[in-house]
Amino acid sequence: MRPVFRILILVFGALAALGIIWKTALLERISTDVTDLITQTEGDRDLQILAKLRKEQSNYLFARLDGAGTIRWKAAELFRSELSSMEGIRASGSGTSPSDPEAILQVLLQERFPLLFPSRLTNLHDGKSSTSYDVQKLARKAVADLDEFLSKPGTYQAEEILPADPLLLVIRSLDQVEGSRGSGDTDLVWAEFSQSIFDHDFRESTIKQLEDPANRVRTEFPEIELQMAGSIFFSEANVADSRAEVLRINLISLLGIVFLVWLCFPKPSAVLHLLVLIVFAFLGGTAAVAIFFGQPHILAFLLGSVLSGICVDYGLHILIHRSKSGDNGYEKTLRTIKKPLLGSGLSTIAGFLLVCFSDVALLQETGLFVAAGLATALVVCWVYFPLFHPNSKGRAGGAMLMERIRPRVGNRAFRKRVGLAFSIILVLVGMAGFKNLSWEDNIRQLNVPHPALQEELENVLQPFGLGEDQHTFLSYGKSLSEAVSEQGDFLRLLSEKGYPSSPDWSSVFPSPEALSQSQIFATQDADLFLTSFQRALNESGFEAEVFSPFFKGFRSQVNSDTFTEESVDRAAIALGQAIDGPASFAFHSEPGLSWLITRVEGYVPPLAGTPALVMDRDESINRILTRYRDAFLDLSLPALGLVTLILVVTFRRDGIIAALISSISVFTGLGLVLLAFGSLNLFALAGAFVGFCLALDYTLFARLTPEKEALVPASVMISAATSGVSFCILATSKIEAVQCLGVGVLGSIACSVLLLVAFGPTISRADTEVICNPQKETD
Amino acid sequence: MSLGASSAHLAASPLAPEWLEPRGEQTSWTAEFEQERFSSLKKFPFRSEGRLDYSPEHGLWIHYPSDNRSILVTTDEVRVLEEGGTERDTDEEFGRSLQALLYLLDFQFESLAEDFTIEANGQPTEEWKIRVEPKDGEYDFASMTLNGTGTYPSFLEIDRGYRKRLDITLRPAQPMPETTGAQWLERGMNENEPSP
Repeated sequence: MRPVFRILILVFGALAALGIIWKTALLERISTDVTDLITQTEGDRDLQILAKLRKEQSNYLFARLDGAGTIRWKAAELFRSELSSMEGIRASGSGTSPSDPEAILQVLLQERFPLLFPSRLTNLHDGKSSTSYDVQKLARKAVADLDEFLSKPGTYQAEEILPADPLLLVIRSLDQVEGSRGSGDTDLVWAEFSQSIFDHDFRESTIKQLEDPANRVRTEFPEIELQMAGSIFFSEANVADSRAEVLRINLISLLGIVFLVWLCFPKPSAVLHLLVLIVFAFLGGTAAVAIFFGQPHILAFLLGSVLSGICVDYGLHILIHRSKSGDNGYEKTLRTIKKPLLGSGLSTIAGFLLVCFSDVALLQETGLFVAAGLATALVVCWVYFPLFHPNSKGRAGGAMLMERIRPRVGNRAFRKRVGLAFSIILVLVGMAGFKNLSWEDNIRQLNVPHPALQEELENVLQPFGLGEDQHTFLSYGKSLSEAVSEQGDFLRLLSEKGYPSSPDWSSVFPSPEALSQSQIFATQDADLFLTSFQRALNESGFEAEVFSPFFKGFRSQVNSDTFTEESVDRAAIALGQAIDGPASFAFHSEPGLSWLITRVEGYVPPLAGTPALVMDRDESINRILTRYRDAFLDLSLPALGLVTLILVVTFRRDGIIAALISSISVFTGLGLVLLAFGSLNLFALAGAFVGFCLALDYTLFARLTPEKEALVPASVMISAATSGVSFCILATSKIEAVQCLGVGVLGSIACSVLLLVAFGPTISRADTEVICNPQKETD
Repeated sequence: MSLGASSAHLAASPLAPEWLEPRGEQTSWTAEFEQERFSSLKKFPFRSEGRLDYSPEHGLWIHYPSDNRSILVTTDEVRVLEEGGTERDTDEEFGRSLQALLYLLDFQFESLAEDFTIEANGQPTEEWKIRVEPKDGEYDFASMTLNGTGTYPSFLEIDRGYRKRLDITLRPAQPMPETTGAQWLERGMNENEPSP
């Protein structure tokens, strides 16, 4: 190929990648929301619910004000009114109360029959279900309840709605639906943001704006302590930390690699060649992610920093072999090492592509990023290097460092013994980790820890009833009544086990039984009940004619069609839309999905007999990670088996040795993770997978390379060193999942190199000979 | 419109001069009461009992022990507390009406004059009867009448329109020791602590 075409391919390739990245606005789409790390699987109902719940709650600001009573109340009201006038705030309120109670009242009055009547009917019938009712008894009880309610001194304001609601359908549900303004010595204020806090520009400007109301309160009421908390602050800290991590890890990784290469290649051009390769690899990987993922997570680029460590391997192999082969040009070098280079490169790419089949978004994104980057690097090797024509024999770059070091660690036999000894020690240490094999999957392993922010959040959420002292469960179903039924079963189980909980939504919303009872009631007993109710009102001294709005509504609205799951769901959706603030977290209804929240004080261990559609909010997301880990294991074991089989069939003895060394290395890597972190997780497994691919890469190259004079060829040694630097830097990340991956792969690399040192040299085989002596081939 | 000082409005009201003279030093007091609430929903009134704690400096607490409900009224705001100190949303009209009651107990006619027509009978130091009527519809009552003798009130009637009336008969008031604002709040809030 003519050089001009090579240059054109490289230039157009780079421009195309940059064009894709720019055109798809990748930088604006990068997510920092931890839920996005695991939410890609559309069919996972649990995860969808948890993600929705999290997104709903993440868009709120919570604040608590502590201090002396009247002043504190004034400060809270000032803060709330200041917030409500802010541009980025959609609604605000006090305590857990919604911002517009009047709107809720109107919806409840409108939808009182389908939504609230069935459970009230059960309640009037002493909680019993029945196919026939003593309507006179029901009517007398309804009137007695009305009388008792009105006897309370604070109920005169309710008199306005009672003519339409003498059965107290709305009144009985208001407390549960609306929440309260606060209690004790603390005032609470909430605000809902008008846009997603994961929108970078919105978040930045809103955090700045929030300072104004807070400063005003602090200036006007210096004796009041105001604390604000919410996901917005976590998101901001996470973005800053993640960016710093991506920059730090990529930069240090790159510097380490450049330093290593500089040590091995005295000529600066070698470093430049490798930098070109790294730049193209990153462009290729980023463009692929831009095309295939809607909201790639920033952590994918953090884990993807291993790309530079791996892709320089290819450049190193080429540079070292070219300099060793004397005056050979790059094209000839590429022909010579085509087989090991493609064999190792493609096996690594295959490994990362297999990771893309994981259910975890982060692994999919990282897998594609690295695989596409490596594929780009391989292509660039063939297009870029032949542009250069070295005209001098030059020094045997790459080997220089190794050749200086080798004599200092004794002769070949001694080095083998040292390699064997250290590999045995490393393998034994790794195996010791397996003495306490355990698994822990926790979503928090994916976050940069922020203990101060976490403590502040807990401190603020606790009086809202949303703190960690409350164990939260979700009961869900295709309809609201199914969710009510699930919650009912779960509450019975909690009660049996001695865990008091609140609230019980079946006292407000209809269960399937209550719905069917109401259908029977509507067709059989409704008319008689109305007559009896009217009579009972008169007998108790009530002015029955005042309640004509109720009688009129009952006659027109209560029929068998009123009490269907569809009509209840429609009513619940309307109610859900009217409620905002923390009160809105208690239930959720949308077409085809409803859930109810159950809160239990203190920790509840997993209970046998928990209904299938009840989720522990805190544990479920971790259980989903566990499920993904199992799926990853199910996927990776056959995949690795297949790769091994292909290697054995293709390279026979070398293939078996490569597979053996890689397997031992991976187990050692996992053992080291166990020793360092006490347990394994999905990310340690992903690290094992990458470690296996890299170990295969090194072993195959070592056994098939023409460098026969060394136990481990210099190119493999330097490749391992550069990859090792990348993963070593990853192991220093603040994010535990990244640390696990870094330690696992680093351990695998170290073990595979030591085993190679111990079990070298290369084996003479016909095809190896061809690679070793390319002259033979041409002869 | 809101309750506030207005000398011009006061000058226009038909109050006798003795009502406009500064009142002597007031003390805090507490009085139990019986309440009858007449409702358009029922032929007979709903009866309940409670207690009023009044401080000229800190405001008014209205306690309904049987309902575990307390209402704090100050010139700035009205807060409704239930058992355990849980706070309920307060309707604005309801809040303004209770603040009018507080001004009435304080004999703060300047504050009342802008929003109300005021009619006072008797002598401030002897038996008296004060009736206020809102000038527009921003209050949830048609009239409020307070009867009393000297410093202490004895009967309150809040007329909320057709067949809606609240009659509060106070038992003889007992003086209370003066407290700080914090003590005042704390004592009132303790009324709603859950029973052991």
